[in-house]
Amino acid sequence: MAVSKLDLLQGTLDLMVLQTLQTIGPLHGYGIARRIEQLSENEILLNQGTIYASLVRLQQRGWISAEWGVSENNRKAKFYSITRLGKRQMKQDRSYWERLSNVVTRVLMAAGNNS
Amino acid sequence: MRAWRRLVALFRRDHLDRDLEDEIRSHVELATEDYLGRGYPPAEARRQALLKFGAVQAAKDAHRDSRGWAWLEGLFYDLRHAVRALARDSSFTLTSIGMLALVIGLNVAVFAVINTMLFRGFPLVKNNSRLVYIQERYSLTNGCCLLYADFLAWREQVHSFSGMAFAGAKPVSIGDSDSGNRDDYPTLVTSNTFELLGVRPALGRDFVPADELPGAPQVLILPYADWVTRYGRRADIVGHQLRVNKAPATIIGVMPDGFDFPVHGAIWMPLQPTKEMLARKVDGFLAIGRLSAGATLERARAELDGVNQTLEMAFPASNKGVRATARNFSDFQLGPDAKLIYGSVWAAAGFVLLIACANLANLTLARTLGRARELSTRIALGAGHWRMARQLFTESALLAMVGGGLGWWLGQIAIRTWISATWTRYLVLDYSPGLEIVAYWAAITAATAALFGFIPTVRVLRADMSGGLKSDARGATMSRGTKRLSAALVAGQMALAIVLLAGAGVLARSLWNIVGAEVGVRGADRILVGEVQVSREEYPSPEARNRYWDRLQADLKTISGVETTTLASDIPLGNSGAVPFELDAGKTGAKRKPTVTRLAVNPDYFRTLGVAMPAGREFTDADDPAAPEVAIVNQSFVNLYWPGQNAIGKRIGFQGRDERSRWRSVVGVASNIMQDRPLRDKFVPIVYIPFRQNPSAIGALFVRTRVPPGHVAAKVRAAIERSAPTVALEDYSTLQATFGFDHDRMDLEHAELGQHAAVAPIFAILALLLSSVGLYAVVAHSVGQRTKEIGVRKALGALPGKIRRLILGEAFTPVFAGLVIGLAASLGVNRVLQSQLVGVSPYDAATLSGAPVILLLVAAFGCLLPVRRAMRVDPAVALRHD
Repeated sequence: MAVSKLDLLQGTLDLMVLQTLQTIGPLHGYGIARRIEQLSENEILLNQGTIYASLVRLQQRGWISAEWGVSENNRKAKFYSITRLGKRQMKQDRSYWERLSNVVTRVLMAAGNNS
Repeated sequence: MRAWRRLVALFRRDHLDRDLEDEIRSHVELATEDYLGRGYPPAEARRQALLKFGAVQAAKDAHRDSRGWAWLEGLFYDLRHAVRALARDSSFTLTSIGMLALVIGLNVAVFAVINTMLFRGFPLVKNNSRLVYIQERYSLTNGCCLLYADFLAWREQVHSFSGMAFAGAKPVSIGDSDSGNRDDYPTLVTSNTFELLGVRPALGRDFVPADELPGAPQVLILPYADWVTRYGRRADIVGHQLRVNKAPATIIGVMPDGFDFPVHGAIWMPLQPTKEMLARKVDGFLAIGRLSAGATLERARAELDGVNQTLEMAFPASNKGVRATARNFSDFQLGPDAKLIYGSVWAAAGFVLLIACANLANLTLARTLGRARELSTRIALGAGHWRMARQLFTESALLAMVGGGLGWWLGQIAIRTWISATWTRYLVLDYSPGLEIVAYWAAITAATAALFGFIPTVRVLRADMSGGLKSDARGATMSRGTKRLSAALVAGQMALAIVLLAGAGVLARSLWNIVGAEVGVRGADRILVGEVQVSREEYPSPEARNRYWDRLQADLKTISGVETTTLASDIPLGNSGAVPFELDAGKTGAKRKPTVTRLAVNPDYFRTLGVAMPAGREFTDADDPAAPEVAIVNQSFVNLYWPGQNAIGKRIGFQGRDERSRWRSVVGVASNIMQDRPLRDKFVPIVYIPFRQNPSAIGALFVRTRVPPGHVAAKVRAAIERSAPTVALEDYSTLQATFGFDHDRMDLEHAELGQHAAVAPIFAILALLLSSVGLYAVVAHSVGQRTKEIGVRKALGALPGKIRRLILGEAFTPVFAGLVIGLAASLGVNRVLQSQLVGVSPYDAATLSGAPVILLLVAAFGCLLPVRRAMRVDPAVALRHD
């Protein structure tokens, strides 16, 4: 591995899962993991298994719900969908994330200009 | 919501695990198909899918961690493991739980009793700590009574109290169409009494000031128990009419369940001041004051003293030397020694608890070391030290919880036993269960778990357990530090046990001195005695009463087997109370009027009791109200007031109706009978006067029998019961039987001593038991650990005696150290007990030397089994011993 991939910041995986479900609608665990990999252009270091800890956490907070169903190619799979509570939470988290990344970017840019 | 889901997750663990497995399987299948679709060969597609998923177990763990409470799950695991570990070690578990249950039960019971004695007041009373109980002290006698007129002066002039109430009593006869006629002794109270105590009637109304006015209609309030037993809880009790002293009276209320004041079971009537009361005659029992905000007991005392000094100057005839005694509840009911007595019982119970903790710490320590291999294996497999410590602590906590639960139950039994053993009509105490007792129980249970769980846990945290994995069992023997700790625990237990044993020893000897004291009566096992009472209304005049008593005694003498009968105002050892008296020409030599015990007795009193009369005669039937007033004195009286003189013909003066009834001539001298000394330590001077000259309607009847009293007891009872329509017979037994410790016949302060002395040996025995178990456990463990060493020594030719000495030496070193420390400490502790001892020194040599001997015997007993096991060790087996 020449260039090391990005480690996930705490909580960011949860946010990405929520965003994925918001955009695409109900999806199973593998689908969510794939989607995040694709969108991040494989930049994120993700053991797909770790997605399940995030999913159960979100479920317990009542932000997503789960149901067993059948996939497009007739496989039994558990489908997750975002709840109303989850949508509200995501809005908050998203604005927080944007503010944070703006601040971090600004600080880093300023530091870059000085050097 | 989240908490709920987590909790659910915890209990549906297996289901959720399966669900996740299904999900992972589905995930891998989906991924494999994906790779197949991208052109991977099947095997490679599946490999990639798994690779991409990462560690399955880690995913499961992460899943589990995020869905539940890891710590709670850990606790469940710890508990399950603890139950299994304890069940495996059943002898350890049963011993520990039994020990815990005993000491926690003991401590809960002791605390409940002490809480009642020292910190509570009359049942249901509000804010007892602000109540002051006041009586008056007359010159030499103890405080018992008070003047209503003095109470009126206090109520007016003492500002430390926000309110004051007064309680007296008077005998009445009650006529009730429903429950029959009876004599009763209602408590007379000022109308504000219940309000001052903060208790409201459960039914009906409280007294009002108008009820106190002379001539107001008679009203009364019932205690709850009366309403239940006498009136069967009838709903229309309020307003029920009955007759008190033949005048109509109305029941206006019922007090709440459990409330009694100031004696058990008395009904209440409003106090209507009589002319005699206002004329400064002693007529009350007790005054109560509620301290106003900011006032203290000391200030109240000073104010009361001030008022009493003024009264003394204004009314020297009635108030000379009269002082008020203001006390809190426990001083008032139990005497000034209550704190010391119950404090030391508390301390003793605490000692027993400490012994048990030391013991359990030692047992647990030994057990932990015995499990060194298990523990070190688990540590080697990656369990943290903290994890292990938590595991061990969970075991201790579990033991404490089970032991504590059983202890609570035992404690409740002990409290109930105590209450029924010590109940007396004249002492009202509040034993109702309370939150503070539950809190105390929870606190000592938790403290016990902490105390005996702490030491082994710390050892594990500090210990290097890796030794346990080596093939030799060396890691499982005690390190030097552990050994020292264990020895210190043994020594500590022994020291505490000695202190308890020595304290209990002197108290027991004290008790023995009292029970075994010479009473002065001969053949008390052949004397039947009972308290006989007839209605005063039926026999209103002295003549009628004399006729009744004469007829009864004559009837009894016709029963075959009856030798003599007599009558007295009290039984030997009773508390007859002292009255002021004077000698002819004031030759008592004291400034104030001295007091003397006075008993009224019938003819044949001394003959019936088997008491010699060195001089003069007994009373005869001729000593009746019409005859000259006479008296008999005892030997002590002669020795004190007329040493070396002839007492016959001398005169003794008592307060009387007139000059003629004032002086009595001495006609006889009797040998001493124990009276008025609850501790039975000396014979007080006594003056006997003829019962017939002032007969009462109640008396102690004595019947001396020629045959064993059991043969005639029933006939005597039958004769008494048919002697009058309203006769009552109480406390019927042999005189000998009354000589034991009888709470009702002793003054209350000293009855406590009897209980104290009776309770002390229980503590001592418990301490002994615990110590021997503790020592046994330590020695047995040490022998078990050294099986191999002993085997080697034997194989190398060590003689059995040498091995025995080795083990005993090691076991007894801490025992001796404990003995020395304990003896030194008990010298100090026993000095505190000094005021409670009768006829025995606190440093009683027999006790102080006996206690260590007993303890050594018990210690030897504790060592016996392990030593025998050591002697039987077979070298061949021992060397193979793992």
